[in-house]
Amino acid sequence: MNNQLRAEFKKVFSIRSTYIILGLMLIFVVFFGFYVGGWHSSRIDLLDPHRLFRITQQSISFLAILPALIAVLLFSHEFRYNLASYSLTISKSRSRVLVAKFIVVSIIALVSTGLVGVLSPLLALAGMDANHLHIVHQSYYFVNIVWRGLFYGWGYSIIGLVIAMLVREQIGALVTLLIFPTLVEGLLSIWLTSNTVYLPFSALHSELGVGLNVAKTNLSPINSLYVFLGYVIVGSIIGWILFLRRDAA
Amino acid sequence: MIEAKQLKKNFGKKVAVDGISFRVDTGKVTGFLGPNGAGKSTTMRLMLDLAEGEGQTLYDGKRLHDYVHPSEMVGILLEAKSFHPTRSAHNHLKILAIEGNIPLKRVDEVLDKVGLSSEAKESPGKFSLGMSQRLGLAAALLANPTYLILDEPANGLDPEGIVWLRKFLKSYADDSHGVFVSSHLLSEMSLLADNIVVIGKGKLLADTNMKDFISGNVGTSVFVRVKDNDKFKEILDKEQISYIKENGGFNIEKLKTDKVGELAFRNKIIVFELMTKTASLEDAFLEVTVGSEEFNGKMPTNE
Repeated sequence: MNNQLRAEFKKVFSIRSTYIILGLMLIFVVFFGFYVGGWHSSRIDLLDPHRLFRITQQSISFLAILPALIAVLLFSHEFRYNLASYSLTISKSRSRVLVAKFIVVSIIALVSTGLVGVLSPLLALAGMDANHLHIVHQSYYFVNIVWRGLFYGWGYSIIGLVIAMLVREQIGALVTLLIFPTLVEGLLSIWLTSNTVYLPFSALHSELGVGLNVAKTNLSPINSLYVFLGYVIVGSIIGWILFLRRDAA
Repeated sequence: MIEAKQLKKNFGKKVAVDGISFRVDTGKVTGFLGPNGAGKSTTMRLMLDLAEGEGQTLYDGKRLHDYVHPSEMVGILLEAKSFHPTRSAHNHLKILAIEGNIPLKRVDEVLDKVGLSSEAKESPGKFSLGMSQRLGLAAALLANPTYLILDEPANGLDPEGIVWLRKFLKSYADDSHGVFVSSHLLSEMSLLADNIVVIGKGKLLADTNMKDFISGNVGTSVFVRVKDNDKFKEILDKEQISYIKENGGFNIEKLKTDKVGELAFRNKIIVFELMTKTASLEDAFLEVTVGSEEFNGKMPTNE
């Protein structure tokens, strides 16, 4: 298993797209944290006692898609470039390959979300300071943002991996990941109204406390987490069975 | 020894591989032949458990994934372009080495062996087909496996590369390894393979050694060209010897050159040309696979 994990990490960090995605992530953190959240703060923003909490929450929400893209690529490259024939011949079991991918995606998602969560409020403070702005005393719900933020970041990447496992084809998986949270769930929300939070991405948004449908529901963050986990577990089981049974070509 | 037993695979209603069994011996190169769409690649994938199907393949008596490190048992080259285009050749092999618990020094060794050391840090997306095949071969050789399963490894190689590949695979087999290789280059296969497995439309058509395959399917004949064709034809008819007139002479089956020469001498016929026509692997292959082609092009006609 140790070899499998090392190999999966090497797969992620030996291709150009990973560095492009991580570079974009850094640029966006600086832009949203330092400029939008700090330098460009309005008078009302500066009087908000939850300003830094909200910046952290929004940065995590906005940037979670990027490690999810890495997750999709990690899985779909196996089939796009026929690397699966090697991975599945070399490894003693297919399940081991899949578990290694889950672990690697989880670690990357948690580390990158953690970094975004730490950097965005610090950069916002630096931006305000650079523009000689002074913010009121802040109430920062540390424990709250840690578990909800980390779960959100992890969840987004894992659902990306699950989508890739189900769709397998790279473009299809990327398109699904990009349009499902906005377009598909957005359209479904017209019909489902307050029940929209039982859809996977809406549940995930609700868990973090962001998104359009949060106000429409009284689903608690912990219940939203359970709803979302339900999708992940069912999707993972189906994806796992398909991974075991489908031809590796 | 690799033993493929009753391999079977359907794609919907189409039977791609129809219960075929054969074996690949160590110390030998076994050629795998069949027309386009015969099921060669699917068979190889079934052998490696990369495709869902029926039957099983045993490697020295055990299934491939019963071994702790399957890469030590078999090295594969199924497609030339099996790599990420922006991941360097060195990193590509390094990942396979880590996954297979293979010492990392083997990466440089195999790159050197296939002649790609100078391109190790390059992205293989820029590689020619021949270079890609060499990288694929390096990946197959990484763990110095007991068996190699190679699908069309000579595709895209230059003549020097083909000669190198032939010598390399022969010496690899001589070193108590088994090589199972498919190719459409029949002339090359006739020089390379000791044994032959032929399939057509998913069915096993032959599993034998090269010599028996050729002699068993196409007989040798004698070609003779003489000064007086009409007189020689009369003699052949009189002696009830079957022949086919071709290229200004006669193609005679079931007789040897000394008998034909003697016949002409006895009848005072001047002989211009007399030779044994040996059947080729191509002749034997076409004979065996007639009617098994999935796709048929139209032959040019001289109108």
